[in-house]
Amino acid sequence: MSITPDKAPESLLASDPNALFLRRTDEINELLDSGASLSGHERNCFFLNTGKGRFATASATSGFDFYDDARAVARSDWDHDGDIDLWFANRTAPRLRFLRNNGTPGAHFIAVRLRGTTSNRDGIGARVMIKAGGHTLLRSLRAGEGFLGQSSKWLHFGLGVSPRLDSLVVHWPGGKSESFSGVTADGWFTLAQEKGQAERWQPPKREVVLPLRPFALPDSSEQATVRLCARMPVPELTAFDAAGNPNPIAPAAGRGLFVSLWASWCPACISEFTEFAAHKTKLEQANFDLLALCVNGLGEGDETNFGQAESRLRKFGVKVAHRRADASLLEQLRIIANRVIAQNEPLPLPSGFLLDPDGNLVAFYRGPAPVERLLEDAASLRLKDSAAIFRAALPYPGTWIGESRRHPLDRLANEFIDADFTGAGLAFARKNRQAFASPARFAEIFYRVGNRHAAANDLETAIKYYREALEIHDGSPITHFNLALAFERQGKVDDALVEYQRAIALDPTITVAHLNRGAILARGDATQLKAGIESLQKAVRLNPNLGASHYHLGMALERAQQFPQALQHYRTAALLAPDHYGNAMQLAHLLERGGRFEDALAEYRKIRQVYPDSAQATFQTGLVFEKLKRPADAVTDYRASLDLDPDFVPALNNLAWLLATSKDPKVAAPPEAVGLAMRAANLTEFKRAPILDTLATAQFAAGQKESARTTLSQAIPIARAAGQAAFATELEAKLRNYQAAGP
Amino acid sequence: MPFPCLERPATTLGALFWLIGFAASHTVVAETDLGRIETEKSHAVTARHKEKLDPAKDGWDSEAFADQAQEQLGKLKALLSDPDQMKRSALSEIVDLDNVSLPPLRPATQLAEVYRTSGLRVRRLPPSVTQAPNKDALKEFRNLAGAFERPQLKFKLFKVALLPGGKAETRQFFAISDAALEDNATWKITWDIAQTKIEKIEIEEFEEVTRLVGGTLLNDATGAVFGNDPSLRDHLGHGINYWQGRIEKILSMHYFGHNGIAVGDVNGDGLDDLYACQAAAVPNKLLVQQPDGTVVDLAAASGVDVLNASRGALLADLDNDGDQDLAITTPYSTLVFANDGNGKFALAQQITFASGGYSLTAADYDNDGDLDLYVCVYYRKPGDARALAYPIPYHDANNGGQNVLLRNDKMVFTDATEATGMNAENHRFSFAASWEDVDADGDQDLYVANDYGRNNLYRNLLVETGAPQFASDAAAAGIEDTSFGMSVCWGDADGDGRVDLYTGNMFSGAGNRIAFQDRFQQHAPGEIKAKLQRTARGNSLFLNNGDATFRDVTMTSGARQGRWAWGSIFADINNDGLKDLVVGNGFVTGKREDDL
Repeated sequence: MSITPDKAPESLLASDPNALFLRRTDEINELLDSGASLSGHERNCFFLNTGKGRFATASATSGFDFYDDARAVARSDWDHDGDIDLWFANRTAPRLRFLRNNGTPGAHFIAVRLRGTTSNRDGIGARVMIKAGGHTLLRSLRAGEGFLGQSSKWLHFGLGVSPRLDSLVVHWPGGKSESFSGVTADGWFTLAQEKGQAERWQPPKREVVLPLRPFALPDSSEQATVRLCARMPVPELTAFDAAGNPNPIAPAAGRGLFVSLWASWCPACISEFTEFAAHKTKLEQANFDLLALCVNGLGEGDETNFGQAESRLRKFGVKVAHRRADASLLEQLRIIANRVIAQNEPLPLPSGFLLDPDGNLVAFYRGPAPVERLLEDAASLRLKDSAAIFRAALPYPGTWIGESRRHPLDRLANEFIDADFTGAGLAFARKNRQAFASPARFAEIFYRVGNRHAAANDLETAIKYYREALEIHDGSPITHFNLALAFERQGKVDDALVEYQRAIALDPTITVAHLNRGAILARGDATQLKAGIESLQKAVRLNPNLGASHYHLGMALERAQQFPQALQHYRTAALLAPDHYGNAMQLAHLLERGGRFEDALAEYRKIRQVYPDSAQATFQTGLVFEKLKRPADAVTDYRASLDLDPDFVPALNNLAWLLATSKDPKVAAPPEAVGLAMRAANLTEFKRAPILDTLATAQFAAGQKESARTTLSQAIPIARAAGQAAFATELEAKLRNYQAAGP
Repeated sequence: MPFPCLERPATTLGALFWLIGFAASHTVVAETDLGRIETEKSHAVTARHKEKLDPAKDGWDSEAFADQAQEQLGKLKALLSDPDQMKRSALSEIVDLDNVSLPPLRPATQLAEVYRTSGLRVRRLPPSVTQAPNKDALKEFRNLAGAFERPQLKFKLFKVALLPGGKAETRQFFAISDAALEDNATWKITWDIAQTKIEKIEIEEFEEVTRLVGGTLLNDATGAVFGNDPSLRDHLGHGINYWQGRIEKILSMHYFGHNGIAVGDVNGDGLDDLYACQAAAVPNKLLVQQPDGTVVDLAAASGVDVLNASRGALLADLDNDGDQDLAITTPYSTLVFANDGNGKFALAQQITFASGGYSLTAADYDNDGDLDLYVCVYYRKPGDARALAYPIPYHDANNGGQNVLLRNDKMVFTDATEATGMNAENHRFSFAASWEDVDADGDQDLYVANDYGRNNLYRNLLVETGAPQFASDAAAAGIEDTSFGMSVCWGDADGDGRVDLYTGNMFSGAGNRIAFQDRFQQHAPGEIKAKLQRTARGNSLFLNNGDATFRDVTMTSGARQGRWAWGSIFADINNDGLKDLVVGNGFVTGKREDDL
């Protein structure tokens, strides 16, 4: 008898366009952080109005096409020579540019400013309409336009080659319209509300030369010193001594500690210690100690070692402890530095960290730490008041309004955990619990640790951390969800169901919670199946674009014998995830079940195109041919299936059956059938009645009647034990026939 | 079998951008150069991304070809920049010189003059003109290069299609210019895929701008205008990449450099001054114009040397006492300073319920005679400003910040957003806004540009109903403009006495190419696909029909290719009475050479 193999459901990838976009944004943010450009080096554009709403690109010929990352642009006739100059702000240096308008010979202008009386005094919102020789010129006075920019309040009108002005009307905001007389070309005028007569305004007599003078941008050295605006706790850090023993980095009692990341092959590091040596006495009298953290040997191809570095260090004659850093410590220091300023690349050498007696970070140095600066920063250790510390940290004089912010210690903890420094990260989080904005944020730490363990398949530990997170804060739907997932992966479906339920109670919109819950329930009894279908339908409503929901709903509906609906959902899943094997097989198989053999065949063919190595799919086409009463084609496909997987039991079995029972001399091959069936029986340890039936049939057809009778006798009790009473009876009848057939 | 964890997964599908190359790693050459340790991890990030972003791996054949075509066009650019390099052998690697069909690349004799003033002349190729192909391709390219002196060149490939028979067709903008002559053209190129060689060029559009007199209209007088003031050297001479490595993150040191400017006369001497917002911990500048046109930074003496990261600023007479007051948006508040009449400012109000603001605009929305303020808020939380946003859904995002309307009552500002109906459609990523009496009924309406979605038009119903209420109305007016909106400017573009609208958006060559391929978003409904196609198309120009509805003339305006556009405003630079457009663009020029 032919058998059909088990189907193995798999999960489908989400094809949600928003998820894709968000992932892309993550990547771009990461790349930007590491110094990449995004639409950089773009030249500004100037579009010359050629009339009737059409423009010509005159970016280069206008002189506006700078490569700056430009932002706000503002108009001003800065020098009062009758044409509009431009100021614009950039992201790149220079952060401001002033472009002076060279003027267009023979072109006239008029500029007006407004004085409101009943309207606001600046006249913001007023429209000024000028009629000049048949042309209409309209300008509105606005405060703020473009992007982050505000232009001059002088409304400037170019008049072209004709200085003629026929009329000027102001439509005041919230007020009436007013006509003004006394305006002429090439002048500046104040228009006061309700006056009706323009007042000429004379620009101050002055000479604005502004000779074109190239300016050099200042050198941007990489070196920087940053005094933190608040003392920042950091996780415990461990270095190593010469013997390789771990050695915590900790200041001595009552003293600060300056940690310098160095290598003896790095000239900038040498220059730092040279300077330290020159100021030896001052440093020894200061309130902090020095620790050199050696990275010799860490980089690719670096053959130097700690011992060599030690000799070099001692030559300076400076009182400094010496420890070795490993790659982990280097990365931890980078993460810490990155909390302070953007530091997405590996730390350069030297990098310096000044810690206060409690081990908090006070200052960070990129490049050699200038001794004077280091001493000043160390002097600031005496400051205790957070407001004083903040003020002392600001690099330039000015006015800071409002509160300073605090370092996000939760982020630091999370980053340590994400980088696999889970122990240090967790300890740090626990120690600084009060720094977390809420129990929910604190709980998130444990949730993230749980995730890491789940990703590494250590489900037991993951569950432990999820539970701890929930003990701290019960209200996170995601934590309940991931806990449910972990349970499910352990096979503890009852626990999983409870947690999915909790996640849904907290947030009914989590599509995959409904999906997973539904998928579990749909495998249960009739009541559970019904509930499962409801859950899966909910998932589909929440996100109709998730293929997995349709797939599982299809399977549930199929179980519930709702075949047309099941088919519809398989089809939808197939559209959303055309390459998904499990769904395609379900779809094809359902068609086959429903007797739609040609359709099923077409689907199996599609699957075989995408998965040409699937013995299962190849086998299935053979099976359909059998149902279509095309044994020769079935045999071809069964053989092909066995080419792909010689141990594929269903193909062995079904092919053996056909070869044994076919009346077609081109197909029949009982001896071969015996071989195939025997192989199948061996592979199934002679424990499956249908296969033994096939074997017996083949043996009988090959003339091995005694063997056939023996095999059948083995099969019957197996069938009975499996509860297949009708089949067993059938086998018994066959056995009697075989026995009657003689030797 | 359950679904994977709800974290952001590491794998990706499809590519929208790809890397071009990497800078060489830093080598130690001097005592002061900092050392570097090259470890596996430092290579890992970029290597991982480079692999993921390789279009060939995802089966985007058209994008893979676009890469190859762009490489060839890059070589062509190099040849055109230096006519001595333009040799037959070099050119024949890019163009099938024996068989290529191309018209005159500078069709000078067929151009029609469409504009002329004393300073500038514009000529265009009329659409009806058919161009006879020229067999001497080398001569054509030489002519093209020869018309310019050390030109700037750019190809912008925006459409690619694979054709049967091993051919491909690309459409690209081609710009070549020096300070006196500027060509902008659209070329359609037919390629032989196997050799990536040009077989045919058709000029679809051609426009030429010639400068007729003297120097360029606008000249960089930055060095001169700062005179002896140290601010150019000390602060303004450093870009964000510099500050990023020095100013603490928690002070709101943000990477995108959104620090704006306001022009106004702060000391009543009749000369315009400039207030310039600066990044966190760098004091804002009050550049007071001196009689000789240079500036002196008087921010400290005037009490406005604000250190908080500042985005937008406004100089306006908020208390109607005859002098210019100052308002500034910062991450955690909007600040209002009152001018004492002598150019000295005192903090009048620190508005913490209007935080995370970007563009700041003022208008008297309730017609009570004093100026009110509107604050555009982009991100939902101020701390989000450190990175690109996560809009959901990304083509019509509604998880952005809430803009705030501040009503002015004798220099005290209160939140009038809800009361005026301005909380409708108010969860978008708003960068910019501008007031204008759009329907010419005597009250101020407001147009808001939003990133990742639709823009808003709030029509003021004050005159109609007697109460200052706003109706959200952009679609009806035809100016919904679904795009990445960054800038708004009203102005009469076509000189018909009615105000038109120009919005600054993003033009993306890659976005245009990919969004129009079938594979892109193949399962998304047609409507979403159309929206996505639109989001990459550039700045938009809407002309006023006269009845407060607008028609979109972007595609024929010639003003849409503004690249990644920020401040995009009208300005009649050559005094001919027609408003020109100036567009500041460029997003992030990073420390490395490669561009995403």
